[in-house]
Amino acid sequence: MRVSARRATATVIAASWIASLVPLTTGSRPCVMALDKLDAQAQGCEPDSIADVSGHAAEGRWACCPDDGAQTLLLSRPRPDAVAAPKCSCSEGSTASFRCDDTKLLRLDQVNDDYCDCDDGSDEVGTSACSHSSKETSLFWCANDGFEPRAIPDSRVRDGICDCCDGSDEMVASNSKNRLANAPCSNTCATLQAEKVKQRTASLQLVAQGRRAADALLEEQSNSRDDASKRAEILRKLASSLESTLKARVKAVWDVEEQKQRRVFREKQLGWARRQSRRWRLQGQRAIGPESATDHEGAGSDDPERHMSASAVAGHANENADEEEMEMENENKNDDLEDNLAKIRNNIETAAGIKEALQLLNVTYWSEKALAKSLTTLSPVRIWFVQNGVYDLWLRFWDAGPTMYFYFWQGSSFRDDMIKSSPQLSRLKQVDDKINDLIARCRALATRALGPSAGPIDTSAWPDPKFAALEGRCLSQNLMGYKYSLCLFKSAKQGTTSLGKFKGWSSSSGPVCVEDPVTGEMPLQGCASLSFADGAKCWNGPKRSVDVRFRCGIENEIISVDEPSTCAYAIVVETPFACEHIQII
Amino acid sequence: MTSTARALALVRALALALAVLALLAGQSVAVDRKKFRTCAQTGFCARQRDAGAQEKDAYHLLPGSQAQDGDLVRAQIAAKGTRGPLNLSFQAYKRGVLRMRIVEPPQDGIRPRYESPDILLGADKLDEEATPLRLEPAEKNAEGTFSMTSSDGRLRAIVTAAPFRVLGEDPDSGRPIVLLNGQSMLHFDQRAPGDDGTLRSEHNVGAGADQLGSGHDGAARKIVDWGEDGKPIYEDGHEDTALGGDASAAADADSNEDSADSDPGAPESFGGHTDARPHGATSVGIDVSFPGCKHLYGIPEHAAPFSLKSTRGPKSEAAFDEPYRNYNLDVFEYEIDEPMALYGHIPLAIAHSAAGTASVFWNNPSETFVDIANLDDSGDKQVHWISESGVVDVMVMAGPTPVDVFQQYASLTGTTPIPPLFSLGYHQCRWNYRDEKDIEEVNANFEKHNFPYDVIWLDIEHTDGKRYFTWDQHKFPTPTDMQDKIAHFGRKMVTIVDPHIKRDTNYHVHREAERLGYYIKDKGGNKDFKGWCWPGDSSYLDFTSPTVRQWWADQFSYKNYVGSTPNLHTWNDMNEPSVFNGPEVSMTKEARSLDGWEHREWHNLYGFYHQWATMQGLIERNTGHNERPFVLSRSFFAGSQRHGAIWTGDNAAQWSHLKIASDMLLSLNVAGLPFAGADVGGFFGNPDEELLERWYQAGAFQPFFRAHAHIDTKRREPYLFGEEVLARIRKTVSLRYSLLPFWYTLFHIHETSGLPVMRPLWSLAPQDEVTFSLGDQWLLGHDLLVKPVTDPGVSSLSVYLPVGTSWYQFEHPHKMYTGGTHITEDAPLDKIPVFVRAGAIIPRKMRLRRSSQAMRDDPFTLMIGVDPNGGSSEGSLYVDDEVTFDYRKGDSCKSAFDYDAQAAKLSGSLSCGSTARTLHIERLVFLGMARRPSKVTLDATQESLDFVFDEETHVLTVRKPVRSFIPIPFSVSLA
Repeated sequence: MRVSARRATATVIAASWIASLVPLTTGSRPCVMALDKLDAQAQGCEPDSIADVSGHAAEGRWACCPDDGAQTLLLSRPRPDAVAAPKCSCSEGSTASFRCDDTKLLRLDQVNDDYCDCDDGSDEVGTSACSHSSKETSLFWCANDGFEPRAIPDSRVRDGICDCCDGSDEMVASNSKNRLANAPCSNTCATLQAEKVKQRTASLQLVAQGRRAADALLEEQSNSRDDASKRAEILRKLASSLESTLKARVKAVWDVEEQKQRRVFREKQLGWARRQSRRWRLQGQRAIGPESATDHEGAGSDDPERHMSASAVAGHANENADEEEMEMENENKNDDLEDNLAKIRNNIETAAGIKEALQLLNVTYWSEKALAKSLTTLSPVRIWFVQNGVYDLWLRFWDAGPTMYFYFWQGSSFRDDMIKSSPQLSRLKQVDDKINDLIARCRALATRALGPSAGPIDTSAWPDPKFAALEGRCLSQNLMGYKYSLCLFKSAKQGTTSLGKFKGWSSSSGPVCVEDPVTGEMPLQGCASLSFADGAKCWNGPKRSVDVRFRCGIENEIISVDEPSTCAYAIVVETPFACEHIQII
Repeated sequence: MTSTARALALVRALALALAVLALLAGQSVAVDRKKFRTCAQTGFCARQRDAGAQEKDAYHLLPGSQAQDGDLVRAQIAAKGTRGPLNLSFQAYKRGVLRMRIVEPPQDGIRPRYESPDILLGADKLDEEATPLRLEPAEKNAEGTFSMTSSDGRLRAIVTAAPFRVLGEDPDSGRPIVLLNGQSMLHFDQRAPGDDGTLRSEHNVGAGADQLGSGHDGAARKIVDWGEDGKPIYEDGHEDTALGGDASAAADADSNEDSADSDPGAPESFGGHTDARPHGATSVGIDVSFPGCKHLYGIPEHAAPFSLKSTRGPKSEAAFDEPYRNYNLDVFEYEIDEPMALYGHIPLAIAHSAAGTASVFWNNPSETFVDIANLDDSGDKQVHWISESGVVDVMVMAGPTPVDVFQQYASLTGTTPIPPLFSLGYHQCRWNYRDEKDIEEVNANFEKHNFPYDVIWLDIEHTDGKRYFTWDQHKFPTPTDMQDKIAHFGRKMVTIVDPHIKRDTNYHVHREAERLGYYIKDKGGNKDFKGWCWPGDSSYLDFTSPTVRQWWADQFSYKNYVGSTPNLHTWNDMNEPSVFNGPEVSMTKEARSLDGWEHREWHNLYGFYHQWATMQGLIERNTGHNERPFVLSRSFFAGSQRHGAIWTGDNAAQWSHLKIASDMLLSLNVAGLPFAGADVGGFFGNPDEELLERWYQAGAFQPFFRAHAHIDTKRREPYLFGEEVLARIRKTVSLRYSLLPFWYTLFHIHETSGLPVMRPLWSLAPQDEVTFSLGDQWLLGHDLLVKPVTDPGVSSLSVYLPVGTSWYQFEHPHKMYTGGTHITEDAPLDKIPVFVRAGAIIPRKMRLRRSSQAMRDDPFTLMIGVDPNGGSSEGSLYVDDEVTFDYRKGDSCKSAFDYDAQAAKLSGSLSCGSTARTLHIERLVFLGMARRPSKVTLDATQESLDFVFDEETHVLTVRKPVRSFIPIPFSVSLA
């Protein structure tokens, strides 16, 4: 409360008070109260007569006795000698007075005399006499020289418990009869200051380290994003190479084979027609039903497809010579395609960035043993390549063996029949499927390398998007006899019990809830935390939920788990990303 | 759909929604009545209640059997069809107490009946109270009567022969005070040799198979646990929607009625449990009426109005169907306005009328039903005591004033030793403060908000798996550090220590108790009784045994209770005892104490003994046994006041529960147990801010002041509701602290004189009939009148001020009210309707501190209610070290203050025992000062004192003298 000097002189005083307490006498004004030295001068005080009566309080009271300029001292600060407040020695006949809550004027000896005269407690800021007023104006000021000054409720003055590090709250004037049994407190300000400096230094170091760790994590992530796009590029190129070269080449091979098969088929059809006309003739002669004819001959249905199929099988059985001939032809084609493969590979190799991938491709073509050996020498990128399914992919590619590049096939029902009828074509079809699969997987991998199919998390409503670097990270910790696991931005568990699924940040604007490294205090309101909800329902209670707050540190780990109310958990996670949110004083 | 139709549909939907809500609300907190026996379902009650005044049972005096026997008078009575005479004896105690005992003559083959040696004060104290009772010469009496008088001339009793009756009267005026057996309801199930054991054993066959834990319903679902509500929890995760065995309960009731005629000693079943009653029928009962009295009080604990409702006779709004039941039970989610049994009981009924006050104490710890009837012709009140076993032991307290009755009862059962001051402060409790960090944070928040409190509590979750005397090593790894941190602020901690012991061979308490054989035995008397409670399979110590009590007390030594410190005190819960899978959630009556007594005979003493043993432990743990302990118990009996505090158990966050708390606490106070409170805020459910604030206001003016909440409720520490709510609650709590010297003095007065702390208005104005039915307002001592707001949305309320008194509003004493009328008092949210009596002087300490300990050296303020009629104002102040028993050795001071309005002089005296003290009085506040004095002088020095007089409020505040204290004795003159 700021006391206006102007209003102070414009006395609004309860008559009874003045009459009973302050014999305001003739001639001179009482001591004036001023906001500061300038204000006092403005009220006509001689500079020499102005005294600070507020001690260390930032919001000061200044007083002076303007009439004679004598020393005026009002002690409203809590000092050991405050109980015996010196009187204002204004000129004879005048009485200096103290003003409080706009209605009362006190004698100076009523200030800090351990009796509460003012409703706002302002006359007893050095004692506990006004502690029941519980107002800002009755706070006790701990000067705490060498440490931090602070205001404490005056309820703590001389209550037998040390609150100020300078012990001023428990000091007793020597003439006071109201002495506490216990001795005044020892001064711990220097120790506290040293501790604080130490702690602050430590926390500054921690914050700096944490920030570096966060930067490193982010950079690593960004690198891995670059790697990811490179990988994606390689895979996409592979896919298009496969499409444009392999498939094209193989298609030509197929055409040859198809022609051959069509020819074979035609011949079979002719053979079937011949046998059929013969059967009809026999039927006419022996009057045998079509069913028994089918049983007998292995064909006979009216279904033309089945006719064809059946005849194809028959053709196989009866015309081994044809098959052998076909094998021969295929052998020739194989040789032909080996050459083509070499060409394809050359083509691929010329593509930028593919070379490495193909080296890997060679690796995977080697034995498991060789692979294991080579893994130890591979770059991390390659290891990733191998670990993430590409190994398997390429293995299948090569498993298809030399025949894979022979054929290219576009299905139709007619062709299906041809494939079924020909082991060669059947194999070709399998290989072709593999190639298609290969291409599809290349493309899928390319997409995956760039991030989840749902795309990166939308961090636009996050108080700090950097936390996204923790996405997918799962932390676990054994605490209070339980194992807690927390997958960030996903789910939380206690043992196998779900504590909740990630719902979002409690607030989209900062600050993020981070523990103060010096005081260890965690803000409870007005900050953004992670909310997990809809966990397993509690017996007789709500569905479990979690509120995750942070602490600055080098590692990412769960520090503590608490249950502030039944089945509502509070988890503190240490992470470098929290370090950015610490205000360094 | 037309708009009308739509509207109709909407209305219908709303109505349905409301109905569903109402149903849900009803279900959320509602007692499961079917779990508990009614009188009709209880053989001995049904039989005695229905028997009424049947002449065939009426007892008569054996002619000429009366005889003087030392200081006692003896006689014999008998009834037709009974097994021979009963021994009758009369005894008198000073101040007007008559005791009548009726017992079976000792006889071989008859099992003696249980009588506790511990309910009444010890023989040394009682003998001191005894006064000879003399048979009067025959000529003084009519034919067939005899009479006797106590030597102190306080009471005369006239005994009529046929029918046998005892009339107590005032020897001087001849005013009838009390009539025993006026309706011939005296009942005594007499037994002959052979009635016990052998005869009854037939009943044990088959029927005796107790179904503990076997599940109530036919389905073979496996019970894996028992809930706090006494319902089984099944393996498949289901709970019973209603307690199993409901149907059988109803059937049992019928069968009971059937068997009532055939064999009163037959086994009885209820709720899936069968009581073989191996000793047959042993019940006793008697009626006691009070001529001219229309109001009865006492027989706590029931969630029912202070002025007892009748339970017999014509039905009216002010009547219950059932008798009041006294059988200590753990009642889950109890309801109000019910005569159902609760956690503890005191069989004391007080009758009051404008003509006088009298009282009757029914000294019987077995299950008891109490019928309250209005006698047909007069409308006078009658109490019918119906107990399952024991003897007839009736104490009549003749009054004639309320104060006399309080003192008479205290002379029999004792008073509460003045509690350590901290325990009168504010207690912060919750099931559960989770861990050490939580405790530290809550404490820090109270500090941060400059909010005073004295004790922070730990409920069952602090233990290692509900093994009492242990700590959960994860949550409370450093309990002594934690207590030291709290103690730094001048505060204490309380941990819960329940009587059920987990049957776990790795648990040292169990191991030792089992090895030593200290557990209550099962019905066979050989095996430990086992029941289900918080820790699962548990056994129950036999606290009736002094050896077991001593052993239990030893568990509280700092060595045994690892992690305890001198700043740790104790809470005894679940000591009815609560047995989740037992009959009516308690112990089977067939269980045996180590001495072989059946549990039925002393059931209501379990909590009494438990708290006693705990108190003993807390005293003995300190060197010199010199620190006063604090023990809170849920269960209690007559005499429990000697061992500490009790609370009204698991109430609910509802306005109705706030309201009934004052009735319940008044009942306890007039029944000699002053240190009682109700959970502030309500245990079950979540109070809204208004209810919470109003509850704090009421709680601050009730003796035991603790906020508590169920584990499933939202946190509700006072600082969680924003600055405004916090400020109001802090103000309320500060008021409590400012009155601690007054509370402390009241407890001193209670200890030394037996007067309640919280008193009915009729204790101050015995002739004012309006006060007789009031249970919603009360007096503290006789100087403060309190009527809390117990309804939502209230901005003013009606307060009755008794005839012949005048009052000032406590916080805003701008006006004086004259009694004899209802006044309407403003009661905005920040105001508590409390009044100071004109004629009172109330000692206070105004400074707000963090705890009572921090207030120790603060100066006093005297608040003087000036009598407008010129009478004097009086008050006293008791001071001691607030901690130890040294006051018993004389280390205390008592100050008496007197303001003589005629002479305009306030004087104070101080008398100290062994240690001299100085009282620092910083302020005198005179309320209702007619005019401003011209001068205030400290007489001793003729020093003129500063003062302030408020013309508007007529409050005169005399500022401390120049010196910082007022020396005592002193006097201050107003000119």
